[in-house]
Amino acid sequence: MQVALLISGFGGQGVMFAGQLLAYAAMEQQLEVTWIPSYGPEMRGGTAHCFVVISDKPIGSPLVRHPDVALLMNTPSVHKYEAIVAAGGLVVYNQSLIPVAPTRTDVTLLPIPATQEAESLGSPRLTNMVMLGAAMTRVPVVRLESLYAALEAHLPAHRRDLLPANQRALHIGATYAQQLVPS
Amino acid sequence: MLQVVAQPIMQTVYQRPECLTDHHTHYCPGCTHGIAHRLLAEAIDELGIRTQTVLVAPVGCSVFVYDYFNVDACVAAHGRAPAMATGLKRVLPDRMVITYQGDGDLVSIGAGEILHAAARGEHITTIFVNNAVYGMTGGQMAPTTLVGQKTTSSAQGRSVSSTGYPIRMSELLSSLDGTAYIVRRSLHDPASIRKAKKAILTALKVQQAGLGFGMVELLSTCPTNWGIAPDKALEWLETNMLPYYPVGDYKVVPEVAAL
Repeated sequence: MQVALLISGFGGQGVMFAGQLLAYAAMEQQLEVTWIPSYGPEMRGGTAHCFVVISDKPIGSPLVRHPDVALLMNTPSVHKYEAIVAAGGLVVYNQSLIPVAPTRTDVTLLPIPATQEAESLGSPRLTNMVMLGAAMTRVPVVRLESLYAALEAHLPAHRRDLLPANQRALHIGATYAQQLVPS
Repeated sequence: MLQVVAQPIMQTVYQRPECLTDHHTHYCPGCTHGIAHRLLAEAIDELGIRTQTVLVAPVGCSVFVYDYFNVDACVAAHGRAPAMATGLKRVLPDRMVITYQGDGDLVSIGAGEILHAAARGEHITTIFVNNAVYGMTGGQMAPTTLVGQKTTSSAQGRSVSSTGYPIRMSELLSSLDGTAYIVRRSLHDPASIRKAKKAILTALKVQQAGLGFGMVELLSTCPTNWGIAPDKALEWLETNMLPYYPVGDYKVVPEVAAL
């Protein structure tokens, strides 16, 4: 079993943290995992993406040509990465910031109003957790419980007060995705 | 019957210089790169040299400056813009060769290149954007960081006993005979910005006249890495940087007066 994920957005959306959380959750489950980041030179904004590979066998390379799952958090990410998702794969996209939907017909599209849901939970910075919760319902290899546990273990000390909100965001994303009929 | 019709008279009083593309810059809010870019672009347009200009981009926040200017350009390895400019100018002497560099690029890794380009009197022009930190890499101490200034690699403030004193590049280069025009200006308020524009125009004319190496140092802000708001950053520059880096003309050969 091997699944490769791409998470992409602009600098500040928590793309890296989401990928790391996923990696830690998979480690919790004793799976093999790699995480590799990529970001532009900008101090503010710019683009950010990371690849996460989860497997039950040692992983040959952290680099991914065709992710099975893509979490796209802004429109430039759709433009850059819609085309490389593997056929039959899953594209979870942040409908709140992406007005023009991806157009591929050979992947499953999952539109999630992640920023909107995050804002109603109290902060747009919870967008990444909403996206992750939504994606994980379709990627059963990593359990939501592992993600909750990883949050407990890896949310930095100065952000501990945000733990309940982050876990709720994961839950909201998961609930939303479960209610959606795949397009 | 005579009819008098009132017609509105519309006149463009302000527009993007031809030299600047409409590409949105990626700079932080309050970054003075925006001002520096505009001044350079206006100067190039006013001299009518847009199609003769070759811009050499540095490594740093302004690494993509070639996306923002409507001129031929190339990008050098970190600090090596003066070396690339040397090659360009010597092979294409009728082009206007300009390097645009930050203080990390020019004073730190590029110290050797700028020193020798200036000493050789290369007929190039350097625009030196000095904000007393390494910007793109996250606000570390630069050779231009002030004593006592807190940065991500001098958390308790730069200490003389461990990292010595900041380098005043304009003063240093002005001691070299190959230089023709070495001045320092500031971008912290409109009056200073107007003076900076004049200096850039002069520096380009110095290259046109083949007088030698020219540099305009522009004291600049970095609100993000200084950890203060853009308007406060302008005040910080005025209060803290001007005393150590005085605005002034450090080398001006007599022929400049006739330009």
